[in-house]
Amino acid sequence: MEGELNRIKKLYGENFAKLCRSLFPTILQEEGKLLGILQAKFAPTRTLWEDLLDQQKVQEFKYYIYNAAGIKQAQIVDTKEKPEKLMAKAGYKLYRCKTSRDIAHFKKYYTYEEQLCTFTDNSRIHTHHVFFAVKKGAEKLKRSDFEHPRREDEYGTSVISIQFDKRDSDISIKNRYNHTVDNPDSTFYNDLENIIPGLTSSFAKYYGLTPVIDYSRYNYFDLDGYVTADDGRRYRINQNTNDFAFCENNIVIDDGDITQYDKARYELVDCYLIDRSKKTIKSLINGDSFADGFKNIERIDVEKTDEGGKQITITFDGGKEAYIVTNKNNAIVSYENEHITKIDNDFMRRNKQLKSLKLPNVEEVGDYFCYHAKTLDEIEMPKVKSIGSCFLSKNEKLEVLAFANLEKVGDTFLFENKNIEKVYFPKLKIIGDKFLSNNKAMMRVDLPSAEVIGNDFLYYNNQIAVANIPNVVEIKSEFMSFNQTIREISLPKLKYIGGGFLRCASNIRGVHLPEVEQVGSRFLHDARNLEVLIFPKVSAIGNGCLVDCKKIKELELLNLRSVGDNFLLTNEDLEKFVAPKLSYIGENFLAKNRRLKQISFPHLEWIDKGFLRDNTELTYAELPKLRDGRYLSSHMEEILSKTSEKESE
Amino acid sequence: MVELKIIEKTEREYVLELVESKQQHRFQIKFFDLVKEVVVGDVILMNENLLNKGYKEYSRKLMFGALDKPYGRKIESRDHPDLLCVKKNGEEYWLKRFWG
Repeated sequence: MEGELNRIKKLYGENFAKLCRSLFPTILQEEGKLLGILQAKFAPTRTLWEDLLDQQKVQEFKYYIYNAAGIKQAQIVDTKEKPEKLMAKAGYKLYRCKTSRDIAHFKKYYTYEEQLCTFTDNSRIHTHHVFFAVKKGAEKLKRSDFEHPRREDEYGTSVISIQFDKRDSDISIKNRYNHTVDNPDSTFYNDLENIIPGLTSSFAKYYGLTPVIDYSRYNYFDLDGYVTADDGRRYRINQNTNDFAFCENNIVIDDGDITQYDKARYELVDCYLIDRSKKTIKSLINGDSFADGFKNIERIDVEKTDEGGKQITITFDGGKEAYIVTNKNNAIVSYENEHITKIDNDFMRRNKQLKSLKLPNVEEVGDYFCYHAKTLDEIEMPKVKSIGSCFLSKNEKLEVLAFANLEKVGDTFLFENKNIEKVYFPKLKIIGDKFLSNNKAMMRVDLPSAEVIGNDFLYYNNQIAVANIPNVVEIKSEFMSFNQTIREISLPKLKYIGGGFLRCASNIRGVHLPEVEQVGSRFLHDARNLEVLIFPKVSAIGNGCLVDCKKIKELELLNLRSVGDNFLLTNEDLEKFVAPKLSYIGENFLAKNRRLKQISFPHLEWIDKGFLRDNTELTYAELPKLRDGRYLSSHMEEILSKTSEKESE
Repeated sequence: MVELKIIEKTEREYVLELVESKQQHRFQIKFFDLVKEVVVGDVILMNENLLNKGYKEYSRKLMFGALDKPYGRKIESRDHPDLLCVKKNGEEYWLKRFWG
C-alpha cells in the first residue's frame, strides 16, 4: 500500500495521496488497483485534491472510484449501538413514522415552496419505511438566512427524511431545501455512513433494513476545469478556447486529440509555446498579442520556484530582461517586461490565473487586454496613455487602480470589477461607453481632466456618493442612471448631455449645470428627491425630462426655447415655473401639477395634447401669442378668459 | 423533448420506447394529480437528460405531478429538464418532476 501511495503522491501530490488513504483503504489492499483506476481516469496533476475540495466533489469522487473499482458496498463501520443513539451522537433525534399522520407532523419544518412530495403521497407509508431526523435547534434556523443553499449545509441537513423502499431496499435521504438544491433525494449521497459511521449496520441490526446504494449512477464524473481527451483521461486545463484546451505537462487537446510538446525543448505556458532551442515564443491562439513582446531573444533560462512553478527569464539582445512566473500547473501568474512600449489587441485575453503584471514602459494598449484576469491583484503601467476597449473585466482582486498618465480609454473599461474602491486617473480626458459599469465597491470617483464621457458612465454603481468631474464638456446617455446614493452634483463646464442623465437617481437633491445648453430625453426622470436644479443656459430639452420630480418647488429657465413630451409631468410640489422664451412644447406639458398657481409664456404660439392637464390650483395663465386653442381644456379656457379680463381692468 | 411510447407496464415499472430510435428505457414512475391512469399506448414527452445516466439528476425512480404544486421546481421554459407531458387520447397533460 505504501509503495502505491508514494506513486500516487508523486503523480497527484501529497494531499491527494492522503485523501486516497482515507477514502479507499479497501481498494488499496489490492496493490496497484487504485493507481491503475486513477491513471486511467486522470492525467497526472498536482492540484486534483484542491479542485475536488474547491468544487465540493470529494464524496462524488469517492463513489465514482468505488463504481470504477466494482465495489458494491461502501466501507461500513460495525457497531452495536442503536440508530437512535448513533443519531443522537450526530446531533439528531430520530423518529420512525408508522402512519401518514406521523409523517404530516414534520411538515412544519419546511417552507411552503420546499415541501416534500412525501407529505402529499398517501401511499408512501405503505411503500417505504419512513424516518425523520431532526437536528437540535432545527426549528430556530431561518430559511432566509441561507441565501445560497447547498445540499449538505446546516439548513439542508437540519431536518432529513431517511426512506427505505420496501420493495427493493433502495435508500433515499431527503433534504430540507427539497428541489431548491440539486439531487435533494440523495442527501449525504444516500450513504448513512456520511451521517455517522456505523449507522448502516445499526439500521440493519435493529430495524432489519439494509440499504442498497446504486453506485452505477456515479459512472460519470464532471470536474470543472478539466477536459476529457480521446484516451478517456481528464486533463486539467490552464486555458481554453472553443477549439483547444491548453493543459499541464505541455499538452494541447484539440477536439479530443492530444499533442504533447517535447519537454526537453518546449515550455507550454497557458497558450504560449516557448521554444528554448530556437529562442522564440509564439501564441497558439491567433490574435493574442502576448508573443509580440518577445523579439530578438538572446537567451531563455528556466528555474523552478519554491512554490513548484517556474521562473522563465528571457534576455533580449542588448541585455534587457523579461520574467514570466508560472504556478505548478504552468499557468502564468506573473509577467514583467520592460522591453515593450505598445501592446496590440487580445493581450493575455484568456488568462485566468495572472496575479501580477508589470509593464513599466508601455504607453499604448489595445482591446481586450487581460479580459479574463479575474485574479490579477497587481498591475503597473505607469506610462500608459491610451487603453482600448474591454480592459480587464470582472476582476475580483484589485481594490485600487492608478494610471498617472492615462489620457484615453475605450468602451467597457473595468466592467464589473466588484472590489475596486478607488481609481486614480488624473490625466484621463476621453472616456468610452460603460466606464466602470456594474462596480459595487466604489464610493467616489475623481476624474479631474475628463472632457468627453460615453454612454452608461458608472452605470449600476449604486453606492457612489461623490462624482468630481469638473472639466467635462460632453456626456452621452445614461450618465449615472439608477444611482441611489449621490445627493449633489456640479459639472461646471458641461455643455451637452445625452438621454437618461441621472435617470432614477432616487437620492439626488441638487444638480448644478451652469453651462448646459442641450439636454437629451429622460433627463432626471424620476429623480424624486430633486429639490434644486440650476441650468440657466439650457435652450432645448428632450422628451420625458424632469418627470416625477416631486420635490422641485421653483424652476427658472430663462433661455429655454423648446421642450419635448411630458416635460415636468407629475411634479406635485412645483409652485413656480418661469420660461419667458419658451416657444415650442410637446404633449402633456406641465400636466398633473397640483400646486402651480400661475403661468406666463409670452412667446408660445402652439400647444399640444394634455397641455397643463389636471392643474387644479391654476388661477392665472398668460399666453398672449397662442394661435391655436384646440388643445385647451374648458377649465384652461376659463382661466385664460379670467386672466384676460383682469389684464384689461 | 423526446417522445417515448409506453410499451409495457408492470406493477412497479414502465417500459418506454423512444419513438425515433426504438431504444427502450425502464423507469419506476409515480404520477400524481392525474385523473386517468397512464397506460400502455400512451405517449410521454420528456427532457432527454432524464434518459442520460450521466445527467446529474438521473434516477430510475421518478415522480411527476401538477405544475402548480409546491413539490417541484418552477417551470419557466419548455426546455426545463423537470418538465414532462403525457399524451393520452388526443389530450396533453403537462406535469413536473416532484422531489422528496
